[in-house]
Amino acid sequence: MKVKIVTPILEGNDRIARELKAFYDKNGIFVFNVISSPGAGKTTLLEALLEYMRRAFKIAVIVGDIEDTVDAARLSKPNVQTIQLNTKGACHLDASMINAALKELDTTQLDVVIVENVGNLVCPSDFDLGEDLRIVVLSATEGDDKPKKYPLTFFKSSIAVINKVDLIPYTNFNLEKAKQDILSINPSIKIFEVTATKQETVFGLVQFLEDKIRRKKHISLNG
Amino acid sequence: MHEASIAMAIIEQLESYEKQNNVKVEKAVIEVGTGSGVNSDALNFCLEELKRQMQVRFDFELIEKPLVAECNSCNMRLKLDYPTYLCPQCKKNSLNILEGMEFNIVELEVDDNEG
Repeated sequence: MKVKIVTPILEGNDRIARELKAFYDKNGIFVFNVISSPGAGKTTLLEALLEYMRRAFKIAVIVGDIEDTVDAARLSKPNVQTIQLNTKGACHLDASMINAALKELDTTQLDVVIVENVGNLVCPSDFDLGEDLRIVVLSATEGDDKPKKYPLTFFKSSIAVINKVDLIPYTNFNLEKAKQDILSINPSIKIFEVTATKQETVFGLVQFLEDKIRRKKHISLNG
Repeated sequence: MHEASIAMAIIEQLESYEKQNNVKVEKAVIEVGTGSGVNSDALNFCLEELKRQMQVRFDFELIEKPLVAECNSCNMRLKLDYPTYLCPQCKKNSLNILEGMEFNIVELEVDDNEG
């Protein structure tokens, strides 16, 4: 006997992601999910962002790595809660892991949750974590061919951060080509050029995010 | 990507379907959209390996679904190699993806006599 069904195989994840989103929306918590290949500078970027944002907001950072806790240690700062998830081999974070992490955090009066995904430009793009915004980080030292090679991540992100732009003179990275390729996949994406080791270069991104955070808080407070 | 863990998830879903409906699943037809990020060759390899190593008796049929989009600006319907919002014809930000992002189990062959 043949049975016609339509069961999305990643449905389990998407259901938990919807529950997470409902929780975030109800509490006015703004969430962004940061994706990049290993070494693109996710943690350094977050260190720079936190230096500004932790002064105005209560923030929790969920850090995903296959092993080790060094990243969570780097991001532990006053006014910031951090939790390290070790996936023990899994190449991405899924919504159930975020759900488990939130139970370990104090979510009362929280304004922002930042998810630093496992360093991987492929797998995390398939897993919705209930976030408001997805940020893909591409560094100049990886090469300008990455957007075309890994289009799904750029397709599903609303911000692309090009990091390590100070190193461009020492590489064959073509900034204009990289930007054009990113926009050819996703014309609505917002691109920020930064050097995350120099804090002041992330200020434009900070302003953009803080505006989104305040709007979400405002909506949740005023219905 | 993570085709091995996805293959495991598929097998677990089929096993739970068997329990819930009190039937034996013989075969599952799976639709893999070109834009879904799942590589059907790699998935097929993982499913076959799991069958061999774990004595899974399900048969699988993978159907690749091309990525098809429609442009709201030039009204063209076209096939894409990868997901994008930018129309390759008119270069406007007006593509609407119609199909090819899905990753679903769409049909099961079950034996309900053994019950």
